[in-house]
Amino acid sequence: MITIIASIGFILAITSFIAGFRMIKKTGHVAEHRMHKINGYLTLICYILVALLSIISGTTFLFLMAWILGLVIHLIKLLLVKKGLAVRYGGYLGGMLLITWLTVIFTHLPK
Amino acid sequence: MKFQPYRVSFPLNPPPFLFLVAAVLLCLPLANTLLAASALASEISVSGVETSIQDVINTASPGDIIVVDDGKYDENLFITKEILLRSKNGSGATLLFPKDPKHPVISIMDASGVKVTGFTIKNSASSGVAVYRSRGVKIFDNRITGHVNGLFLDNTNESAIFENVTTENEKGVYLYFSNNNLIEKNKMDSNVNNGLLLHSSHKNIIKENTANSNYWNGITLSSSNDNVVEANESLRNTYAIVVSESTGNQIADNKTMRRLYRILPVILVYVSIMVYLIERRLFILFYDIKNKEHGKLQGLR
Repeated sequence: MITIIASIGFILAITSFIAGFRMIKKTGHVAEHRMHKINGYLTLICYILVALLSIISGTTFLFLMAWILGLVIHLIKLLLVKKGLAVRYGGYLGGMLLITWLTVIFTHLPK
Repeated sequence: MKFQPYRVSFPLNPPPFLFLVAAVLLCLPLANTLLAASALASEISVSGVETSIQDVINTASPGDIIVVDDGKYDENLFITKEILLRSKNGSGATLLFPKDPKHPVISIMDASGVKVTGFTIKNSASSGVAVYRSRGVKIFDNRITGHVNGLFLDNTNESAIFENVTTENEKGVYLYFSNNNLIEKNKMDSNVNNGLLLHSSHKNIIKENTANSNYWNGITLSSSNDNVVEANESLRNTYAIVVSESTGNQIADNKTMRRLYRILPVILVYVSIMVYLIERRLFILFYDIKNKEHGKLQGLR
């Protein structure tokens, strides 16, 4: 269950990243703006779900800190977009989000 | 009146109760022997962690049953005689840790008929249970984790290893120059090296075990001949069943599957690109339709 949600989140994060990247480069269609936004919010929901499920099934202090750090990266990205700084810093944050999701996927592979 | 003397008659067929008496008399020596035997096989309890299990083993006679109470024991046990060592309430309640981690937690040496059951055996730099030059040993219903070898049989024959859980060791179960053993219904999962390794061990029966998610091989037969490997489950290992320099092994009805999960992220990246392309087309289509409708409405006005 947790792997499935993490996989969906990972897919949405990548699609959102590609759409966002094309928006910054101004090569994307106008419709991609909405797509980026929707996928971004869905990714955040997936992240919170995976984090909650993981914490409920047992976690350590370090893992809890890692989950909070991931959430902070998501929220900073959201804040930057709201402040209109996405073009300048969005790429870095997007990359960090992808790394966050890669970590989430690798730590939730079935044993 | 004619007096008739009382005559005792001996009938040809004796009454049934005579058979019963005779049977009881005949069985008396046998019963005596049985009673003597049961008196020899006494049950000794090890209660409280202050008591040393090894001291009890040292004083036990062959055939004795040693029952270990719940708790955590730090000992390296050494068994050289035929005893049954068991826990009182199963492996969940009785934990054995090594006093000296360089040596096996339980060593059985030059013995026959030893039985060990119902323990959780943890964390040594050697073996959880090591059996050397023995015969007819039974190791069952134990949980063995955190060792180099979970269960190690060296020059041990005609023994049975069943219903144990040997996880997170370097090797789950290791047979070295050991023949005619039964390895059945064990869980040899998530070990670093091999779930089950046979080296120069012949005519063993390995059936209905699981050897899943081991980092390297599920089951390995190395220089081992005429073994029967059937109805085992070996999933998500690097290699499921490896046979090397071995002949005459019967390998049948095993369930095997390679580990695919490690490439899941790569597959997901490809899926993401596909999803992106499809989603983009849908969004653009939806956007165009909406714009057209908006244009029509404006045209009507």
